[in-house]
Amino acid sequence: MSEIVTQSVSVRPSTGNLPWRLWAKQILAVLRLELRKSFLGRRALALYLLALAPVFILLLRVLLGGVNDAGDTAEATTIFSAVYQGFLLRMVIFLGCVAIFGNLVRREVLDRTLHYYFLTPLRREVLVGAKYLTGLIVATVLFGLSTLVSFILAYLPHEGVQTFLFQGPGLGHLASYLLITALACLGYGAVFLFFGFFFKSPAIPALMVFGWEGIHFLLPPMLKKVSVIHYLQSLLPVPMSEGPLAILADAPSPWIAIPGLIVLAAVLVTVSAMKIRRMEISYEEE
Amino acid sequence: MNAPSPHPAAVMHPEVPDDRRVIFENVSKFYGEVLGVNRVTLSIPPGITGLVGPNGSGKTTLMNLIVGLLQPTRGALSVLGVTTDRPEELFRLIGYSTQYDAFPPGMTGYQFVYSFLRVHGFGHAESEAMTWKAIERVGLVEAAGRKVAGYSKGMRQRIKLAQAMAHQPSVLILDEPLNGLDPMARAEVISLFRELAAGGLHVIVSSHILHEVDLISDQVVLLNGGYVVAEGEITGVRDEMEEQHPAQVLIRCDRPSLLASRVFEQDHVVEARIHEDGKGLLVRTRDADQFYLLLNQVVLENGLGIETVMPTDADVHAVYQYLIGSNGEKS
Amino acid sequence: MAVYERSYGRYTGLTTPEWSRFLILPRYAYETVFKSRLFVSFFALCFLMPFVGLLIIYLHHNLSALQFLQLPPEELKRFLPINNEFFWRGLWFQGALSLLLVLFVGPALVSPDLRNNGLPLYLSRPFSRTEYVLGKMSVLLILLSLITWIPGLLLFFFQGYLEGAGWIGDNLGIAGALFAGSWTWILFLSLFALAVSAWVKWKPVARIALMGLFFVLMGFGEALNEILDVWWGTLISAWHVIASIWLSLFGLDPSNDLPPAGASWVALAAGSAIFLWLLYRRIRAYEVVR
Repeated sequence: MSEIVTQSVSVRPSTGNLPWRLWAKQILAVLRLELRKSFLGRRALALYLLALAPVFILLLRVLLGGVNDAGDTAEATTIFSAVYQGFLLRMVIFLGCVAIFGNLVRREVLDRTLHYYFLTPLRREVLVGAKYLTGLIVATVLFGLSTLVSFILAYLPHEGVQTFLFQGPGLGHLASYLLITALACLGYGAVFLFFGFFFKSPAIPALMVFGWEGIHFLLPPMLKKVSVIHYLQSLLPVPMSEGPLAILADAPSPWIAIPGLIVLAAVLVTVSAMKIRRMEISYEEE
Repeated sequence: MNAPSPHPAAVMHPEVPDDRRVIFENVSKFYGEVLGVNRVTLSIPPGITGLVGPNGSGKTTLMNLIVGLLQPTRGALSVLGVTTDRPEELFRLIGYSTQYDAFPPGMTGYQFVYSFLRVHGFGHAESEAMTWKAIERVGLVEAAGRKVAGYSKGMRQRIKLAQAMAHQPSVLILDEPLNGLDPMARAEVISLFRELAAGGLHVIVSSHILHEVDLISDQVVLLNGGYVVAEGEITGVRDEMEEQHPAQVLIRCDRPSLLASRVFEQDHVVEARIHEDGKGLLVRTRDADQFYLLLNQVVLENGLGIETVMPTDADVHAVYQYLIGSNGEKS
Repeated sequence: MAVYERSYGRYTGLTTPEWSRFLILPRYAYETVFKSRLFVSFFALCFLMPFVGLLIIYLHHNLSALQFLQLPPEELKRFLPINNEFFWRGLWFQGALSLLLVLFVGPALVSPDLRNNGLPLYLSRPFSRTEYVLGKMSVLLILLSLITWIPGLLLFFFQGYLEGAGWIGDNLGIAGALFAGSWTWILFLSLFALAVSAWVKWKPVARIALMGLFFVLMGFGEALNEILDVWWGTLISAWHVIASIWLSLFGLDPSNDLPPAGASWVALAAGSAIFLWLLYRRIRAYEVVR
């Protein structure tokens, strides 16, 4: 064997002794990687179509003249509230979050690329945080834009929109809907990220949550609290009736709903981070 | 001041200190009831170490244990003094090219190497420079802008290698790195391994191609059924097996009969057979050193004309056959 | 290399009939599917409603049991009559369970073959694409039949047996509706699941895609109808379409929330044609990677 000439020295990035600066760099790097890999290609087409679905419905309403009373913004308020609650929140955002967050880690395992992350000096907990953050940014931007454009299209054919928006409750409504969208992405995202770690197929528990939240209106008040939709619905500016069979319950105040959802997300992301710490790479066949 | 005593497992190059070794201390890994590796105690010095063994012998398990992709069921291991519970430090030291032919989708070769350097925490300029350096080393500069999905197998193998060494690790672990490479590329990559090892790197390579392991490795670790069957430099391992598997030497000379008659007198010679063409003698001996001394003596005394003296089973292939056998079973 | 003696010969023995070779595929599929305890539990639960139906039919014809339960027979006959609506409700419930079953089993059919380059292995043998699709589909056809028309017809004939032969003759339309309604749904769901499984290589992702497509189209259709005050929005919702078809097959009054039966049949046929086309595009012995 040849003589050892020099001792090789690993190169370290210049970040000083502060881990948070390194983590910030690493999180940004993961964000860039994830955006390029998963959200800026053909793979994301279905997601974009999903986000465009409510926009398409309201666009058709504008184009096909499905407006009964152009002078009354109350019709637009009712229409948008129905579309938002019944379709955008319960289906588009829910299923979009399943697709985004449920696949954040699971897809990497299926693609057999997770080990590339594990082989970097990136703390696995930071990796989970970075992936969650990426999913949250994508979901919030996508569905937030969908909410915004849908809102505009709902009011576009009506007169007196400017008055409603700037002198009436319009902007407040819009801000509420955008906040609910962001909180929905936060809450559902954490739930499905968690499922992605503990279930081989996140679709099955997602289906159970979908069913549970689907019958939410029938549940007694105690059980209603065990759902994300209960807290989101309490923030709606224009609550809709859930039908004659719905069991009524006191809506939680925003001071409970908002921190509650944030705490739920924090707990689930933390548990996911603890799970990934002991995760072993074993790319078994599904 | 006394020199530090060598690690008990430091069969290979005991003079190299522990903080410059990859050390396994009684490591076992079970997948449920299936054995991955069992009671592995190894100490790997710098240089090129070949991991050799049949399918399912535990080579990939061993590599995955070193890099922390698997946790040992028992035992402890350290890489250059860093244990696997310090991953941030550990992964600066390690570069791993796995057996999986999988890449993040939609990326070019350049993006693949560059992106993970950024995850290491390197800045843009640093990452760019290191990326191009690694890509140049594996000879993929022209293909760097193309998507990895469109690469040939050999190119994919090389870009994996580039990604593994881009951050200039001290330990490079390569699972079947020569798979899919054409002869020219193989020669270039082998030359690269030698260059890295000469710089003091640990290069741990697993391969089924025994003659290549023989060619490139400074030392080998033979695995079978999850156990380490032998470790060390090939000649050293072979020497230790002489009692059970006498060394075979082929001597091509002008008077093989004369040589045969002299070697038959020796106790350590087990067999002497004249070659079919009548111009050589195949000797099996339990003490190769003694035999060579005798050979020198015979040549000087009798003016024997020697054409070649060639050990015929002092390579990895022979050691593999003796220790593991052609069916992967221990002989 | 010189060949002195040709000792290798082709197989000249008996082969299995060509028409039955596609049945090789479901043989291993069932083995995989029934390995999952969750699926086995779910499959067992699918027989709960037919069992409840059996009990109701039995109670209708057993006075002493009714007396024991202190249930007046006239009340039971009025509240839960055994008529076309009874069997329609049963099919409706089992139809919903069929969707869940397809979510369990469907993604595992074609996705793994695509992912692991299994299609060239199948199609390089004397095995056509049609046989491949039939083989995979038969897994779903059999499992779905076991929870839809088979228990449905068994209940029908049980009722007929207890009621008397005249009942069967008078209500043959119910049996026809059960059979036709079940098979329509089974074929549509099977093609849907296979098409999605053929286009998404990863099983968990295929499952999410199946679920997403079904529920999003359902919600989208309903929203279209509500917002635009039209009826044709729900033609893209498989559930609304099949519900309308079932109502028409059982001779029940159509619902205002559902599209007309004629349009529903057309929509279902169009959807099936699209799925067949998707399968045709995807089930090939080669794949172009861009």
